Amino acid sequence: MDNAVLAQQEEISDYFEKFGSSLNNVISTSDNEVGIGETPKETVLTIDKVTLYRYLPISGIEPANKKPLLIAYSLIGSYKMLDLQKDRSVIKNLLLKGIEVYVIDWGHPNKSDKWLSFDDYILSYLADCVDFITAKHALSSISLLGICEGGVFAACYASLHPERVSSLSLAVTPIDFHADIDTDREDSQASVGYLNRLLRRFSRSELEDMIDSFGYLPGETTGLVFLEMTLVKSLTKYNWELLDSLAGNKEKVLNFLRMEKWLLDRPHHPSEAAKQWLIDLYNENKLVTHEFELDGNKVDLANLSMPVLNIYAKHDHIVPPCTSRALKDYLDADLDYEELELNAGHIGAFVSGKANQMFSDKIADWVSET
Amino acid sequence: MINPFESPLHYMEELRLQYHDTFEKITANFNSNMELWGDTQDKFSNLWLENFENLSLALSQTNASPKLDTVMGFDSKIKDLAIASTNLSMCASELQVLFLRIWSEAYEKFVVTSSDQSTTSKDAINRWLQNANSVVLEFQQSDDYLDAKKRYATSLSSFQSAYKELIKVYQENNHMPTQEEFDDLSKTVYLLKKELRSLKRQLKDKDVLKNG
Repeated sequence: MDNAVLAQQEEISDYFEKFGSSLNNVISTSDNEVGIGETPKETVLTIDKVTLYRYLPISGIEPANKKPLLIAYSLIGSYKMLDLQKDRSVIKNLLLKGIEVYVIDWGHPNKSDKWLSFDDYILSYLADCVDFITAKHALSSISLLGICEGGVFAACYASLHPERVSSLSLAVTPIDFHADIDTDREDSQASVGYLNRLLRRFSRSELEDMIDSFGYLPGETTGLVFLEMTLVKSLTKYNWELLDSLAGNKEKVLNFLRMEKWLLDRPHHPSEAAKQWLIDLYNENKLVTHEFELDGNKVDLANLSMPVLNIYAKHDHIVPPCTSRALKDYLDADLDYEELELNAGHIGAFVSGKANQMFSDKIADWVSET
Repeated sequence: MINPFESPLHYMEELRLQYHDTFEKITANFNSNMELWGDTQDKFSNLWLENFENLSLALSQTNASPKLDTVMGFDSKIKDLAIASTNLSMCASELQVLFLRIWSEAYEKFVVTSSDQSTTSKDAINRWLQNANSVVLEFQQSDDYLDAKKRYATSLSSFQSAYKELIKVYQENNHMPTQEEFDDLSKTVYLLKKELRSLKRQLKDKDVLKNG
């Protein structure tokens, strides 16, 4: 028989097999099965809508002789990305290494929180969490890990209070928001970014009007911007690619649904903090021009005196690697500074099996000893 | 006519030939009409944009219209919303036109690169999507797209603000709290909380100093 006929037959048979399998998986899966952020934890501190979690040590694992690690995630998206599934959990990997792990959940701000600024998030909430942990463990300093916008929080806090941070790790964190300008335009999208280039076209008042017109930066809007950055993939996710995502092994399907659940949980970004993020930093690049102030104190990255680990993702189209790697240009030349490149994207850095393990191992090494 | 139950393989072959033949005809037809289609789209888009521009201009020229007491500001807010809505539609159309252009470019590129690759329809669709993805990602870096996107985002903000202003007139005339009043209240609470937190911290620092 003609090869083309055989190929077509195979294709049709494959389609119906996938269709049946997908249908079966969807019918037999309840939302309760799609668990994210399941590593056991306890609430140790709440301030307004902010919660500080302490992850429970895994029985049988010897505590490492290291300081506790506090993780600050971005206000955009949920910290549960770090604990998306049991076999690819940054949190669990760190617990398995005997590290004491604390994570800040910034909660779900609404319009009543519109006045919250970086000043509050860094000098109140983050500072209170550091104070709580140091008091509980009778230490003067802890290890700090900041991710994306949380990395900016961590860098600002550590530069204003270097005595409270014994080691600093930043992951997929933009520092010089204009670093892409000098990058070769012929490079891939990952190296020059999109959001940074788009936001620079707006004036301060246009961006202020944009945020004020909504009263905050809506989670749905940030979600749409991220979908737009991979437009064709977003357009085909729920049609052409859907059967590939839903068919076959149940565990693979659950992984897809876990990511969907995480994506759905997009907190709104408080208005004042959004203005600082999009205007002061993205648009005016104040963090590296020494103009960024928190409660009247100028943030100077040269004040970072602790060992600094800077992790970036090679294929990051949200935070281009050049904007993260620029950090070294603003640090003291003698500082203990290291970089780690992950062969992943902005989210893949935390969920792809290999990158996730590499990330966790390096962070565990970087946490300072007691 | 072949009976699919008696001779399924022949039936499949027949189907394949029919499918192939139809696809070839569509492609040939599409290619010959491509230029005409592009030209029509272009004319239609320009007409659409021109109409919106004219409407927007007409609405803007009523700026100096006298204020009427009995309608309590509703008329000017409705006019502002109409202008914002027109501008938003215009900017959205501009983006759509750009996307039409880029899909067309993606198709042209696909036809050139995949003409001699005979594979399954699934592979062909995957190749088309891969090709479209790379063309769209490159296009999103262009000044044309970024400028149009900015105009769309600012017109969306203006529309949202105009809509909120209209709602505010309704709320005020019906003695309901407005967003501005709510903002005043939330700011007062925010500042009070901030002051309280600062005082607590000062007390704590004093305690630490006192207890050595």
